[in-house]
Amino acid sequence: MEPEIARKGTVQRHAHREESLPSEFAAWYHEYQSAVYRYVRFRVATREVAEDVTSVVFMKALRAFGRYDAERASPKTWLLRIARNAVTDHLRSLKRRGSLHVSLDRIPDLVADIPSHEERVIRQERIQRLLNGARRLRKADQEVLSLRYGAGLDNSEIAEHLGISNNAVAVRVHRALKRLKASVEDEAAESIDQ
Amino acid sequence: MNDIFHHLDDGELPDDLRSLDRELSSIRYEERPSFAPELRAELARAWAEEPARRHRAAWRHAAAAALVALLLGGASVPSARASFVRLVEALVPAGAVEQTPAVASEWPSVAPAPEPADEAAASETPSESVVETTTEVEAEGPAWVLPQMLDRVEAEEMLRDAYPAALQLGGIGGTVRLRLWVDDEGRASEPSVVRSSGFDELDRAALRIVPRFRFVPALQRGSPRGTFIEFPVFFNPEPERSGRVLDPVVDPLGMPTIDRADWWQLSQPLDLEALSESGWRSEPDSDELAAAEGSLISALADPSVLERYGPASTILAGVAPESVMPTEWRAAVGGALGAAMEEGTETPAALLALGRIRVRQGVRAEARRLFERGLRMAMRSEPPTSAWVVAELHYQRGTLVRDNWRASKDVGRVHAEAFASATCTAARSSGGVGTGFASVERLIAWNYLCPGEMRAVFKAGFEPRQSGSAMDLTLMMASYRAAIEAYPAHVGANTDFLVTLFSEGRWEDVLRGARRLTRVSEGHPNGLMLAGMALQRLDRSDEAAEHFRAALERMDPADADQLADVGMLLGPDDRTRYRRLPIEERRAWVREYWSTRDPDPSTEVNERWVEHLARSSYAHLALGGVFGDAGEVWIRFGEPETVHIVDGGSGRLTEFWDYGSGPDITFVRWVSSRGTDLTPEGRAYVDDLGRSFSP
Repeated sequence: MEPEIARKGTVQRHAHREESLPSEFAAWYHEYQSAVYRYVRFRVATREVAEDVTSVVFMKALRAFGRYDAERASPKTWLLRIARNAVTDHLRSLKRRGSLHVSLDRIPDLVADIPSHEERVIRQERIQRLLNGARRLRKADQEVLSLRYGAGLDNSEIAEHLGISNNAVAVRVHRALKRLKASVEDEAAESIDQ
Repeated sequence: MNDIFHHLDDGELPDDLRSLDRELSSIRYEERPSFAPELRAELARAWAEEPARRHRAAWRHAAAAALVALLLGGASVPSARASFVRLVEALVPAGAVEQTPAVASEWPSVAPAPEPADEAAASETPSESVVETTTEVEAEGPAWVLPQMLDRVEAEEMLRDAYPAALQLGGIGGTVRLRLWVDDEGRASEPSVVRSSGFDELDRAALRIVPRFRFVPALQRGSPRGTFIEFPVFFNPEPERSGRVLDPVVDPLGMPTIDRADWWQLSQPLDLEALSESGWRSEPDSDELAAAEGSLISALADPSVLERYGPASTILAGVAPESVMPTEWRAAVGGALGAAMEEGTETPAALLALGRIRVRQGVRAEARRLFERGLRMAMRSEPPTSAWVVAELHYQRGTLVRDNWRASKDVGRVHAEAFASATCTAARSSGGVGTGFASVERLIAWNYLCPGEMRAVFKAGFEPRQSGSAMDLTLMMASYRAAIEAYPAHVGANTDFLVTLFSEGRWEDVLRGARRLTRVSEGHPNGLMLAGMALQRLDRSDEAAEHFRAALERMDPADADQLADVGMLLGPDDRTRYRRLPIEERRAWVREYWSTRDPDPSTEVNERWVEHLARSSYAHLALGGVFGDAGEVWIRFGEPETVHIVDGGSGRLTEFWDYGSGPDITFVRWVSSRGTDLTPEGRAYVDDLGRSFSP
């Protein structure tokens, strides 16, 4: 029980409720929120959906926080696993409703460091083509690409995450990129034919 | 941000994949800055509720799990549903739980009345203590089964259709919490709003629709029972989430709703004689302006801002007084208004003023957000916001959208292969190959060297850019429409709306809209000019002439002289002499000029003069003035048969105006600016054309 005098200070506490997250979880959030978001964003169509799915990931993680086992996975791996399931669930729900793709004019948040507006627009289109292409790949390819280019993991981290060897990761990345390249080129050829 | 990629080991990749690897690694994902803190606060709230939750009955956990499943399963609006989760949890009183176990129900969630103490009373006067839950539990004890929706997909479709398009386009949405009586045959009635969305129109739309939902009635121990249910209805303005694609639903060029009321009146000619002698009504009128200024002043915590930076009317207009350096003024006033926002004292008028300042400072995305925020606020505020401020917020937002639209409308690129079949060899070496698309320089050179083939080149190789152009048009017109509906005498919104309709060939609508503008503004020249332009296109030159004459009489004499000016129709020598004359003699020249150029002397009206006025009116209203390059070409040669716009990169657009013979006339326009100027080659060509006038 807190002493009475301390309780009077609760106004301040309510104003800063984030203080009340378990400190370890707060630290994870601080450190990995961005990686989770980027991982999710790599695989879903829009910023809004990425935000929603990221929210679900951390909400689930918070609920399951007590069951986290440090011996089985690092916090980052654990969070990314939850994220993978959340993305899968999201995509499954989309499949029931229709398209996985997004038109090119809906992607204002994907950019590269490019100075002019014009180049930025072209670049955004290119990025969206790449991501749409990635979404046509098989799940395992999508997973390895989003871990590498979305969450920014290096090969050894991906290896830990997937439970395979570093060598196998390199091979998978290589193959996924090759298939992505083909997928994007196919799509470009198709759109010219049309 | 990209630092995290430095450790990526791409050494094992072959060259052709390495560039793809680098490309993927360089993608940045711009997070909404407030997202991380918002989510963190959300998590903290959830965590704070956690201990209480643990004490509740075990089925509640099942409920949460079911909801998470719902969230992830059929969810189209997870974040809205997340708040729904909280709502559900907050509303279920622990005591009610044991008495009212329930079966699963999908969204909208529905709930049984608690078991009534007296059965007769329950069926006649349903209990007010409505309980909501969404869960899946085995029935035990007194078995209540919730009403179930017969067809959820149908219900969602009905709701989507009921969403007022103007609100959706305006980015306005919300959640209405409703109560509904579902009788023992599953019929719904007596809808009422438990918690408003804050927008009457949304509430009304929901109320209108929900009685059409169909249910399986609630069951108590197996017998059907009437019961009240409560549920939220979400209106999300983003088409991506609401599932509604806007384009096919609304006519982007539709008229404002006020027109439907006086359709008959608008089909009647204007009584030009009856227009007041004293000029048109000023906009906004003094009451509206006073209300707007009052709203602005109330936002400013520090009244000395007004003393230092000028009267409220100046700040509201976002234009610095002449005595001050505008950049400094904007920084200071912007700071004061920004401070009001931080303190939470902002008002729609203050947001309007700040948005206008931001536009001039080049922060257009922020400006748009400010206008939209102002609109949302205006919808809710008590006392009601001045209608003119609402109209102005819509209008300013519309002009920002228009700039986007203009940046992508008709814009495209030309495939280099389009030149392959060309027979003209003069320009074959003019660069620009390699990217697969012809460079602008090559197109311009080809245009003037081989004019006969330009049309074929565009036909074979012009590829319009994929863009949000249609959406921008829809949004722009919806903004103008909303402005006109809020304040029918808004001259800017009416003018831009009607000019767009005009360029889309909707003459009848332009005529109606122009008549309305003329009536409500008591004779604003823009209304008269637009009516004249439409009448001229409808081959009613005599009526058009009357409207142009009325417009010239009523506008500022200097403007009238510009509109009637014939200098650019003269040859070089005559033009020099004409320009040097005093104004009275110039006017005489104009009269003399037209008296000798009547294509059909058997009619009372000079059709060529009417056409000239129609062209200069368009140049004045749509092309940035009669003396600009685009205005000059339009007045001299009329409307081009086709226009192709080629994107030269870095925000530079090159326009090719095709008049059917000779080379296209070429202009350059910057995305960020309003002006359209001839390219040097275009200027030389237009000057060569000398005294041409081809109505």
